[in-house]
Amino acid sequence: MVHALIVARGLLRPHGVLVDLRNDRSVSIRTRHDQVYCLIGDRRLYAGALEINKPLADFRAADRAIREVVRRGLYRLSTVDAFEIRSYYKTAAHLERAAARNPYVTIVSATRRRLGALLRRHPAGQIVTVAQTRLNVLEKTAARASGRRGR
Amino acid sequence: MKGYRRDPERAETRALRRRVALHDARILDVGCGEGRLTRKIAGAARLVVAIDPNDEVLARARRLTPRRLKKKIEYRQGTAEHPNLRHRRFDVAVFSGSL
Repeated sequence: MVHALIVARGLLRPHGVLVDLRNDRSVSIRTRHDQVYCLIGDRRLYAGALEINKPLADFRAADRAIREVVRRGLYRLSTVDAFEIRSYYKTAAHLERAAARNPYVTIVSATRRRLGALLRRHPAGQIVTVAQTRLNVLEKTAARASGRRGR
Repeated sequence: MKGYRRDPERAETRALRRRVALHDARILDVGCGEGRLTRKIAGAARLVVAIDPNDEVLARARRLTPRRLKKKIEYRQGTAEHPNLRHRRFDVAVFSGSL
């Protein structure tokens, strides 16, 4: 990952920026996975989680890579932002279909049960999944990419 | 996919535009996949070079690109470590879920 960031730096103009956009898995255990809700008007009723089948270690490794290139003076971390990305599904079948197409997502059985119960109680309810997302913006510094540590 | 809308509030592009100058920028999109974000940012950009290691995915990205954006987006096979873009320089490099 550090190598990828160094290669990208070589492709950036002076003061160019690198944007790292990914699911924010550093937050609480509950928000570490995408959340499923039944929307009724403005009310969000929690149904459960979608299991994200990407190792948490990968997320942490990306964080470490960013810290490393900043430590080496190759980039300056100029912004960290967090926001929610919402996805809307017409029916539970559409959610199932979308999850089946995505190799990184599994619907937890308890979530499926709770969502089914919520939709029986609120047939007009809309299904929404919420992914916590992180945006890191790194600005290329004037330092030369030597790739060596401690300099 | 029908019956499914991802980010209709455009939270992702709004956050990006708030923090990064995309207008008239030369953008490198690393790990573009089917080009969902590529197409969203291409409107404001001068050009977007979108790379992905998977040829089939790139073919799908090309098919999904509307005609008005075709001149702005260049899809190429490549990885973050080997982008095969010698002599090209960009204002912004985007890693969307690909770091």
